Amino acid sequence: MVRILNVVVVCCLVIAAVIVYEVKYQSTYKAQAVARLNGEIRAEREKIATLNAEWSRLAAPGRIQALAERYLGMKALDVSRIDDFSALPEKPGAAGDPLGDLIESLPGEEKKSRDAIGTMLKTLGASAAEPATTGSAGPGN
Amino acid sequence: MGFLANWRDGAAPRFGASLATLRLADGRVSRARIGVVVCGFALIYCVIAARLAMLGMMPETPDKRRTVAVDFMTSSRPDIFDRAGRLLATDVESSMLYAEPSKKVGDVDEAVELITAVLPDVNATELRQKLSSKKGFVRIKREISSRQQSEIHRLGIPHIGFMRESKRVYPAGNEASHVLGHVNVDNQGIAGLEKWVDTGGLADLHLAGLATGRALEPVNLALDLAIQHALRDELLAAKERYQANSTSGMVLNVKTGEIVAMVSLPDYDPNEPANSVDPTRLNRLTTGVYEMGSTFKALTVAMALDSGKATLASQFDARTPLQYGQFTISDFHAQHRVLSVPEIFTYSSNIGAAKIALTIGPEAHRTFLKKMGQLDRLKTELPESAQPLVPKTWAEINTATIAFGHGLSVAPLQAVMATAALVNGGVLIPPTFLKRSEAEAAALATRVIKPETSEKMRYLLRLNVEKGTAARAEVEGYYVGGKTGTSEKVVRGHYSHDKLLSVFMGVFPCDAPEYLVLVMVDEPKNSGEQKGHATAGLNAAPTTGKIIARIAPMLGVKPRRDLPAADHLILASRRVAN
Repeated sequence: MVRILNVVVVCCLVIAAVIVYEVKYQSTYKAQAVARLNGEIRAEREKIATLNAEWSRLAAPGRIQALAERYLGMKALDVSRIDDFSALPEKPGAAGDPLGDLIESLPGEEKKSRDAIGTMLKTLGASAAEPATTGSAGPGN
Repeated sequence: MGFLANWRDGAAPRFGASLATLRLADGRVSRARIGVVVCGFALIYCVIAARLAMLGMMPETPDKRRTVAVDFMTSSRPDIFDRAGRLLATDVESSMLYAEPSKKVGDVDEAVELITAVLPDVNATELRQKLSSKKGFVRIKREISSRQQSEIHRLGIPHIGFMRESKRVYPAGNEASHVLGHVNVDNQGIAGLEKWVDTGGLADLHLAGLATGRALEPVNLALDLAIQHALRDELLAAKERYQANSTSGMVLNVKTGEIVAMVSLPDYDPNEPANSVDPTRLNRLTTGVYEMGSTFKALTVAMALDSGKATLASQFDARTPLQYGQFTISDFHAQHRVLSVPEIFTYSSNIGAAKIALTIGPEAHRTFLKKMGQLDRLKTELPESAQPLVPKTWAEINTATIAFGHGLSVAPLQAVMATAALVNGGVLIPPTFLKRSEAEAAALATRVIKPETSEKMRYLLRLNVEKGTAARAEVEGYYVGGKTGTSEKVVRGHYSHDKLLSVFMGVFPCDAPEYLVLVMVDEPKNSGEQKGHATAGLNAAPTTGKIIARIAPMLGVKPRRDLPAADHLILASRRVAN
């Protein structure tokens, strides 16, 4: 009985030793992997920082303006060109629209197709209550 | 435990000979001894298990196995972004070559020869001196490329090595130099917001060697790089056009006190901070103090209207110059008649402004300016700030001259803060370079004038653009209001007639102000149109107009068409409200 027990215990010991050995080397290996990955992350971060700095330098407004002046021939935005949808004139009424009448009189033509542009403008007006502000990288005057 | 029980029962386990002899000698004693040994071992194992558990529970400590000196010098700084998230300042890593001469570099001459062969721009004699010294650490060269690094590595010189270090980079160059400031060779902030960042505790972290990672919170400024660029571009053009010594300007959000742009020309490139020591390149808006000229009349008029001692209809006699001893106060655009308050404002009458202030009296005048923050040093995040030059005694003559902006020198940023308070409904908000919401600004604000007075001031500023000296600042659709100021600079103790400082404070849109634009032209020599005249209405005002036309769409201010004149839009709406 005791002998069996001893054998079992010895076996357990050997197995435990093997497991501990395995775990220790695994952990060392993992620690190395972690250190390597940390190093890589760090290097990548540094690269990102360098690229960010480079991008910011390339996208700096002064540089863009110089390039635009040289190659694009753009002008600074004139304030009078900014307006609201609400300032657009009403679309002309149904009467006095000969082309529209003509289309309506055509056989098989749906009535609503005629107002397509009108409805489009309306939806645009609703969605663009805020006018898109337009910055300009063009030259100053 | 089963096999201990066996023992006690005397069921003799056939152990080794030693145990058997023990048992034979004295069964009970040996059993007790074994028990003690077993308990002892059990205890030791318990201790080991407990220690293991403790180690397992402990939080992970950062990896301590760093190679020596790698992170010795790399003190990181937080990135700085503008309000739209554009990068203004960041750290980029570079390598630095160092040596430890105290540990014997070997043959110094050979080392010098080898190193200079790879790095031709290193001075050989200097290097020899450095390597022959007994110092523990000497810097040989910064910013080594990876190719050079591997070449030097192959030379195999003992006790030299490479160290990673952070280098501060400002991608926008000159664009925001005075606001950002710069750092010294050890990456410590020595000017501008860089210095402010350091005083916020970063310096201590550096000392403790903790600030090495990239985990630092980035700093988000109120500055907008696009606005900053537009302002700088227009000011550069104005400097050229008017052949001025310097032009400077800023854009302030009057509701929050945020400084959206600030430029003082000439400026410098913070990537090469050596130029910053040139005294002509200092930030005139915070470190300079100036007599702000007629722009101060806005404060004078606001004070009188707010006190109730004058109304918009009050009349003041501006027929004859005021005489104080040998000092005479006269008008540039003299009208020689009795003027109402709006007329005094739009003709920019010095006599009128002086008389308005005299109705209030020197003591109240001083108290009012103190309340408006004009007599104390204005502290912002920028470490550079100037103390205003306040007269030691404040007599009637001081009040008379300060009423039109002479005899009191303030930092332009201070004057901007006060003017913003006149138009934003009457609350003084300390200006800031950091992002701030309207609610946060409201918590910091102090009421200095009544809302009605503020509305009257808006009317006067708008009227000045419609009919007065500021006509050239008008931008169609933006309802600009503003006040010009031309002051004679003091040269060797006397006011000079040809050295002028032109100032313009522009507000838009004037019926519900959002932004204030300040433009200062220092010693303009050429008005661009009329030879010999260099008043603010001819240089600072049109420059402000151009700036507003350019930045207003970017700031999201909508242009409006066919707005009525000021007396209809601003004054009439007020009467309805009352």
